[in-house]
Amino acid sequence: MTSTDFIKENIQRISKSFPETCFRYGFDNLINTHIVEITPNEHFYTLDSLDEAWIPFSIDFMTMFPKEEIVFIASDSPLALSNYSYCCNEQSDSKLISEFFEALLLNRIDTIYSNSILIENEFSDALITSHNNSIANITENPFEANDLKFDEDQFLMAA
Amino acid sequence: MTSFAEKSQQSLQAAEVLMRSNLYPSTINRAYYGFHQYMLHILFRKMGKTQEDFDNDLNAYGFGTHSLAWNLVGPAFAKNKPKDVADREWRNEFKWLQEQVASFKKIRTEADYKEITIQQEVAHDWINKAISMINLLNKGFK
Repeated sequence: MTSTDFIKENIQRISKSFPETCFRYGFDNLINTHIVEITPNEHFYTLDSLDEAWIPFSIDFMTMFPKEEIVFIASDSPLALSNYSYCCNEQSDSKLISEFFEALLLNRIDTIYSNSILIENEFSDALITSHNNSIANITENPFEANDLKFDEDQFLMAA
Repeated sequence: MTSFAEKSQQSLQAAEVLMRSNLYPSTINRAYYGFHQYMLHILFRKMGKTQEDFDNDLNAYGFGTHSLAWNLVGPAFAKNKPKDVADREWRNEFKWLQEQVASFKKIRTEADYKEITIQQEVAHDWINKAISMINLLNKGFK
């Protein structure tokens, strides 16, 4: 069995016990190191049962393939790759992303909805205020328009 | 005879001298070797492996002094949890050390073989990390 097959077989085995966790495998050619990325990051950092599953496997790998290297990382590691060749439970990551965007979208819609009500209310208030002012103006000076002074001589000169 | 512990100390001292001379890629190189020489010290003085056995393994596996040293020291470190340290804490130490070993290899390869600039703070950070990694190894191999 090759080292890569051994890794794939084991991350597939471990992934079955952690359906909410995504495991990606890739190889960093610069440092000749097998990379296994575990996401979400909080699973990598905080799930004891996950550590108990992958650390013994990692140690087995180091013993079985002593001239090769392996490292397990979260996605915030500087060792994270841009492309991985193999993945287990990728849907868990997609699910997480969709849940995040769904929440973001709902929150945005709520905000937009709240803002639109606010704008609508402000607009209505403004209209009412404007309308009231107009009424007030009219009420205060009901015949102002009729009282405009017209200088007939000046008008004729300008003409 | 200069022991690997002494060689390691000398490499780290050289790294500091190089950093003060603003020679940052060389700083990374020396700091990296400082750590690896200390792993060889652990291997030969704490784990009881002989230089001859190690050389035979190297010949058998073809190449990779650093990979072989880490693959021998790493598993032993993981199993050598001190009694006063909680399981979870020790697992986190192993996780951290494993990632640093690979990251160190990467930055050293880039520093030596890529036309990239190494900043002073990066060089300084890796000297400190090398010391932290050595201190952690000492916790596992008292």
